[in-house]
Amino acid sequence: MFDEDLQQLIRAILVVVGAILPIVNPVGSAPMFLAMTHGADSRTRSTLAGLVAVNSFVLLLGSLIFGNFVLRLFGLSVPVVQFAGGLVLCSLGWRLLTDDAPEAAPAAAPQDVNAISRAFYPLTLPLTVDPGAISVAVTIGANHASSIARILIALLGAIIGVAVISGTVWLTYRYAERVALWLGHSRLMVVLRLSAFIVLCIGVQIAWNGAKALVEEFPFAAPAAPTTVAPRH
Amino acid sequence: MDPRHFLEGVFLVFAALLPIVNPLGAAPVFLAMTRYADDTTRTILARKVTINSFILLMASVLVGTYVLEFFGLSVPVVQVGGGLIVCSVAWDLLRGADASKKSNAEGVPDPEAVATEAFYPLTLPLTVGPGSISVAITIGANHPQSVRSFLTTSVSSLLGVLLICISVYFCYRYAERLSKFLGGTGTAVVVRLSAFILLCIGVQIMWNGIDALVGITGPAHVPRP
Repeated sequence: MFDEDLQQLIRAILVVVGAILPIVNPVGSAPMFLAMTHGADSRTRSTLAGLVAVNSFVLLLGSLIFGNFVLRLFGLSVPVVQFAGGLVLCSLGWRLLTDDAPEAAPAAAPQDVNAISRAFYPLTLPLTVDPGAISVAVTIGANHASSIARILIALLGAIIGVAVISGTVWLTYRYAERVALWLGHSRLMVVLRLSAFIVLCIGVQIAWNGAKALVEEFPFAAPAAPTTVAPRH
Repeated sequence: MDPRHFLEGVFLVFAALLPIVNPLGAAPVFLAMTRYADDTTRTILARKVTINSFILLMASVLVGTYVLEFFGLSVPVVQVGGGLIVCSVAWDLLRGADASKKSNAEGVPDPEAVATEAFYPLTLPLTVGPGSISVAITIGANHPQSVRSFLTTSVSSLLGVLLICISVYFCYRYAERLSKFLGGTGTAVVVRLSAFILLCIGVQIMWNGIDALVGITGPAHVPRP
């Protein structure tokens, strides 16, 4: 009995970590974190890393547990969230790609308060926990188990899994600066532009996934598997 | 006047509109859009928005169908157009990091400018969005035949809309307490999150409209899943 529960707990943790971590992809978004906090000093950056990790934890856990409920409350479907979120991510990537501020930014170094106010948007919401991650979290949270014991185990698994993810986020963001120092300015710029372009592409991909799922609802579209389309209200 | 029918009518209007008007969800957005205003201005705004919403919803229920017919519009077209507006408002709100700085630099804006905001964007796309308007029009669309039942439906929808507007007033009036309770960072998080949800709502409304439009013009004989 206990063994079975433990096994289920481990499986729940693995599902959460395995499904969400590759999408959150802290290693991939660490350069973006560096770029967005350009001009902030080391101390501010480590505070920000902590804040982003805590925000990500709350946001992911919230999406896992209440995501479905919130979507139903506002009458939204998952593809719509993907489409809108993909657009937001595109705009962020576009801005980072075309922005030519980083050259001599330290002259206009943002105040600490200002930098910290950005910890949720854009650092946590579209950058770290992107709409793709939110939609995956909502989907995982959607199929709740039936009995109370199962629900508790799933809940515990979700908490531990999300904690592992935010811990990874914290570690990578915290030590992103060292990597930046090691790379040097010009090479860092290359990495930044490259990852800005990748963020743009991720945004297009997420928006496309949403759009595709939406268009499949059309009567004349190819008879796709109905499971890909979330129920609309 | 059948009291049971009457109560059912009130409840129908209230239950159909409340989840879409959703004053609880809109309250953080209201806060975000009035963040430069002081307490008294916000109270005045809450009252104005409530009155505007009442008039707009009642008008949609009573004469919405005729207005659409007069201009030759269909409900899905209103949804697409309105969804676009909601998206644009949400987009500005989401990207609003610089806007807050700007308004701080300007100082307190004159009350005249605040008052003009009470209708657009606070009432029209924010509180009573295109989704609510289309539902209100649909409620009003099935007008009964006799004069007496027409009066009954009108009075019951009046009461339903009145209840909605009262809840809007309370949510907006006490939104500031909520923000004080949440603190600066908490409010910023809630505002961003609700801006994102608002963007999703805009896309969803637009999509519902497009879906209905394509369903009309496309091969409708294919059975819908």
